[in-house]
Amino acid sequence: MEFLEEFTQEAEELLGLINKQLLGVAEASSASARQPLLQELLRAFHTLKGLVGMMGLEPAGEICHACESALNRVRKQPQGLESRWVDSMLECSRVLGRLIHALPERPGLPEARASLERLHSLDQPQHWAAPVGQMELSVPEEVGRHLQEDDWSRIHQALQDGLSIGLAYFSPTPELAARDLNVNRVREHLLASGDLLKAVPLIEGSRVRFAFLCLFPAHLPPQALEGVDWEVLDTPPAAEAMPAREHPLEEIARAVSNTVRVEVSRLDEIMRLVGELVVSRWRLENALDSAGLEDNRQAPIRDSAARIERQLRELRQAVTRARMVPLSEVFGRMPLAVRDLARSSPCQVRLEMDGEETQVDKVLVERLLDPLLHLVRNALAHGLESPEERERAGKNPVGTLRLSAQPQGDSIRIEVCDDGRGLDLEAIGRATGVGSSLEANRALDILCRPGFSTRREAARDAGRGVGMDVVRTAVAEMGGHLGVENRPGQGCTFWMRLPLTLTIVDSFLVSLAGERYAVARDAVTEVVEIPLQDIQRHPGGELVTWRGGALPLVRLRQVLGSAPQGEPENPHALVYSAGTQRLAFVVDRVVGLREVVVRPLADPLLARPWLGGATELGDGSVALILDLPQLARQGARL
Amino acid sequence: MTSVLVVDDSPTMRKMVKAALLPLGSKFGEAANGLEAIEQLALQHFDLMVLDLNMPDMHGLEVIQYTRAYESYKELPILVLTTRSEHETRQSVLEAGANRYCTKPFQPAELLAAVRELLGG
Repeated sequence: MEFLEEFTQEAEELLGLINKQLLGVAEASSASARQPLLQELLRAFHTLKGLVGMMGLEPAGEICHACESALNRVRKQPQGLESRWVDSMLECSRVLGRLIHALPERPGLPEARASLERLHSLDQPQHWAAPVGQMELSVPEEVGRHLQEDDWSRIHQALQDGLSIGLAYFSPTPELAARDLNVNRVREHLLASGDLLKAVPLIEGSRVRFAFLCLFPAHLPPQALEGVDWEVLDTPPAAEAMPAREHPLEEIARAVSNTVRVEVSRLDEIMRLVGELVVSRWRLENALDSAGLEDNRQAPIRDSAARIERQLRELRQAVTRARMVPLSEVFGRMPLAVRDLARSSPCQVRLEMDGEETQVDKVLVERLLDPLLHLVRNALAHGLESPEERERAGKNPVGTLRLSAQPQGDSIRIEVCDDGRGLDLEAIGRATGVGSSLEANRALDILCRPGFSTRREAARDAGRGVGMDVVRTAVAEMGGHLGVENRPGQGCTFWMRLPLTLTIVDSFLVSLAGERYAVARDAVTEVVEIPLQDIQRHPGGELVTWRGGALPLVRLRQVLGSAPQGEPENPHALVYSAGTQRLAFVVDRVVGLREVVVRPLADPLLARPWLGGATELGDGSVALILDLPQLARQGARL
Repeated sequence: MTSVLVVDDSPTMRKMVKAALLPLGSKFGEAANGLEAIEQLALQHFDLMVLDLNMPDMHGLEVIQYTRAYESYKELPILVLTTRSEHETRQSVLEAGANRYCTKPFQPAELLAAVRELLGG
């Protein structure tokens, strides 16, 4: 039966929601507290009615319909509900549950009939209470005209209850959408700190701006979110003088405290178990491959395996999400640090921050603080000039330091960018005797040597013997990379690219001289086939013409020291690009795409900078993980 | 390539609609509520919308109203696909600005034919 699984799952969720809301209705202290619950219930029954209809469960559809009607009737009823009413609704929900679980068989519904009749017998036609009079509120007209009578009375009630009214504006753009800043996210954000009264799209031409009218506790306005403009419209009359009434605040407090604190180690444990499940699933698939079953007997098992894979991915994402905290936990400490540092330095600096709402792994946030602080200190000590020097160079005397974070697929890029003098490549070259023609990333390698400094007298904050090597090591320990972009005279940007999750990575599985290796999918922009005869040899290395340009090649067989025997005629290559750099890594074959569990290399004899770890494959064998970004950095000098 | 926006709060229903419309070979956008639908319309171009009526926060009829407020979507074909209810009739839905009214449960072939017709062949 098609869609059976999805249907059962969603139907169960809806029934769960229905039961919860029904209990809420039973406990609700007033008609206005009941309203939103009834609305939710109506919608849930309606959605369920559509779904059971698609599955051909007519009796269930009939029950849903009757419940809808019953809800519509009590919605208009201002006084309390009899508990008998809630009981019959709960009974209907139980019957629905039985009908849904009985699928794909379709039972009749004698018992359902009885429940339906009980529900009908509770009919009590009633009318609305008189509408509340006009109020003077500072809701702008463009929003106000979308409000109904009962919206106004809710506002009135909320102010009485000691809540404030606020208005948030959000204009969606593709750029914001690409970073998951969309209308749903904004709504969830607002709902996290209060209640959403009305969302009004304001459309002009082909653009839209959303206005959200919110209720929130006067002393707890929503936190700032990028792209959202927030203003407080009305605060409760004599907010301090009047003690807030119990229930709305309590309701909101309940919503806010709807979280559980969990030790990170417990989440680690779950993540490890998920990792083991991933491996077990491959074993299953491998066992299936070698079992040699006929296609028609294999298909259902394959289907289940594919489903498990999907569910595992979702499980992994869910666990990952549970570990995520916003970067603001570290970014938030920077303004204070920068102010302190600026006070003891000749520079004046303005700090800009961007992307601090990005969610990253909790462990990452904790380890990020030190390297980030170090880069900020460096920017102030070495990057930014004194106001006089800046004026002489025709710059704003106040320097700008910019911290930004941007998610990129499975990883996040964090930048510390200043508009100071840039790296003095010559001084770095002189200090090491390398000469003056240094390329920025090579300079970074030198900067990262333990104890390196170009400064005669060590600056108080940046040159305390703890140098860039510590930053690079910390970043590498997080499985990330450190890079630099230099703009001589205009400033420089240090960037860190870090994985969002630490343990499982989507990877290409490739074969090379009979061995299998894994390569993080994130690092690969494209997989191409390269006929060996198309490879041109140049003194600087090998390349192929690709998309009208030259694409340098790195033969991984050579890097790994394998013999050329048995290399295929048309090997595959993984195209890697970073900034303007593009490289193709030639492997024998790309075997497939997998989720691999990254384990650190335990054997120091095996350790190479370009080995990102190892992973266990389904058949129990081990594949090494190749770190393309690291190889690319070396590739320039291979 | 045509592009179809499927608006329904039930993910299963969205999946069923997309499965029925697969033969069109079109691109699909999805929205689980009215606000998301209105946002999607501003972010990319769509040639047709399949719209559920009973959704959280914003009713489908309101979504139609807002859709028509866009300069570029005055003529967008909107197919309302909804579970029969005492509140909306075919007539009231069409008067609200929809181009077509279909009910759930639906036959995939019928939905496909209706959409093809709205897309003009």
